[in-house]
Amino acid sequence: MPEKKTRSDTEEKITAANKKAVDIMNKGKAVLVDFDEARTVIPGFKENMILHAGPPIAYNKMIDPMRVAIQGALILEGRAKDLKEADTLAAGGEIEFKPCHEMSAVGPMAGVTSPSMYVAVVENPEYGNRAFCNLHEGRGKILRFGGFSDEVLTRLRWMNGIMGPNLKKCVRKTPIDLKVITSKGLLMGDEFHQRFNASSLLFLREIMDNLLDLEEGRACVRFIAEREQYFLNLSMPAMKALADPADGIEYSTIVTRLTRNGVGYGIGVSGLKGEWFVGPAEVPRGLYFPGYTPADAAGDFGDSAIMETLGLGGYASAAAPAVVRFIGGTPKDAVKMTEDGYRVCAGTSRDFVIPQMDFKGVPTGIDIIKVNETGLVPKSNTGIAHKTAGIGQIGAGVSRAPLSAFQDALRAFAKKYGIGKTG
Amino acid sequence: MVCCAGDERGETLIGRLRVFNIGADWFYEEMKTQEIDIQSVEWVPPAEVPDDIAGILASLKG
Repeated sequence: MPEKKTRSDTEEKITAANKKAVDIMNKGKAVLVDFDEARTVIPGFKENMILHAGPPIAYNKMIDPMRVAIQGALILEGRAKDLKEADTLAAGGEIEFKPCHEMSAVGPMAGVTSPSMYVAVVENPEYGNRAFCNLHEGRGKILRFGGFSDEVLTRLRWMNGIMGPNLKKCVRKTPIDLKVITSKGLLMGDEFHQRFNASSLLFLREIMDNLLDLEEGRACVRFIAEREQYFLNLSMPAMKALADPADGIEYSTIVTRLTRNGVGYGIGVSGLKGEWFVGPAEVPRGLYFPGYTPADAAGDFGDSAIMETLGLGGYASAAAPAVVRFIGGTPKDAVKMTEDGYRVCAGTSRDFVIPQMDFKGVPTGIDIIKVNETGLVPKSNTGIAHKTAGIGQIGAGVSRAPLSAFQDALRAFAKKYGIGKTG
Repeated sequence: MVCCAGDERGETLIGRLRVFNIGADWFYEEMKTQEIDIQSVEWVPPAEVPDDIAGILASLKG
């Protein structure tokens, strides 16, 4: 009989740390408690600051849609009168750019968040932390895809002037438990990166009574009802609020952030708090709208891979058969994406279960060791943006995280904790 | 990976499987679930894995 191998001390420590990280992710709560201007509620937010999606990147290295989104935000803030002036200002060094993730925030696609923009405030009362996300604009010509025009500016001003303050009044009166909506949404066919049809309506049901009592309340209700992905910008800060307390656990190899800026795909690891590991962001594979091909697409961008960080999105694909054809697959492919998640995650979710997987919890706690061991990198269900600003979404598909980021993270982990040969 | 399992006659089988995209831990648990008398699964790095990464993973597995 072969001699059974014993686990090393280090492996024991890693297993215990990873269990702790998954327990924290499971035990946390995500309650929508407020909406307010970014400058007011995000700690450390400065008047000359603009947040963006993904890992850190200089303005002149950003993709075109992200740059135009920043220019649009500077016009919204009254710091520039047109895109050209805004471009000069942004390139001049006066504006401080920071990843949303470094400010306890997240933002879909460009993720651009400027001081006056209203953000959702999600609280995790179990651990006392908060997370933030800008408001959902909808589809078509929108700032987050790099769209900018009078129509975009008018909408953003209405969101700051009417929608945001109304939402603030509603949730201050009645906070909303976002984990409950997420649990129900999974049972109703949402996977929470592409499909939010059920959860957006569940959210509307929670807030509608209060909204209708307010000035322009009907317009706000209509705005939410017309946007199938409205819950995206609430779900993202919910997952961020659940992930952040699991960051900074010594010896943990669990991923606490996955995010892209169109050029780089960055990951963060609990036991390596504050460090970024960045590989190339790929062009998503999937279905393109008529007239477009992958040659038209920007590199993958957005903080929305926070959904996969908590086992939703790509890892919850089995829950959403309606999505799989849109992102270029079959129901079997969707189940395989979920099964792949179980192979690289340290645990499962206690509250987010998938009926199609015999009500098993979604894979939770991506382990960089398992990713390196299997080569199974996280895959995100994501929107595809045109590489030229102003055109917007041209398709939807699946993007893969770069294995090199997980390799670099494992090397850094080994160096910090004195494991193996680090070259 | 190298897979060691006992067959129904109590003999030991040692097989080498090319299952990079599955994972040794998952494979072991799956065999256990199927009540196969598996003794251990040893991860062997495939060519795709850089040497230094293979070294770190080998250290972690005791």
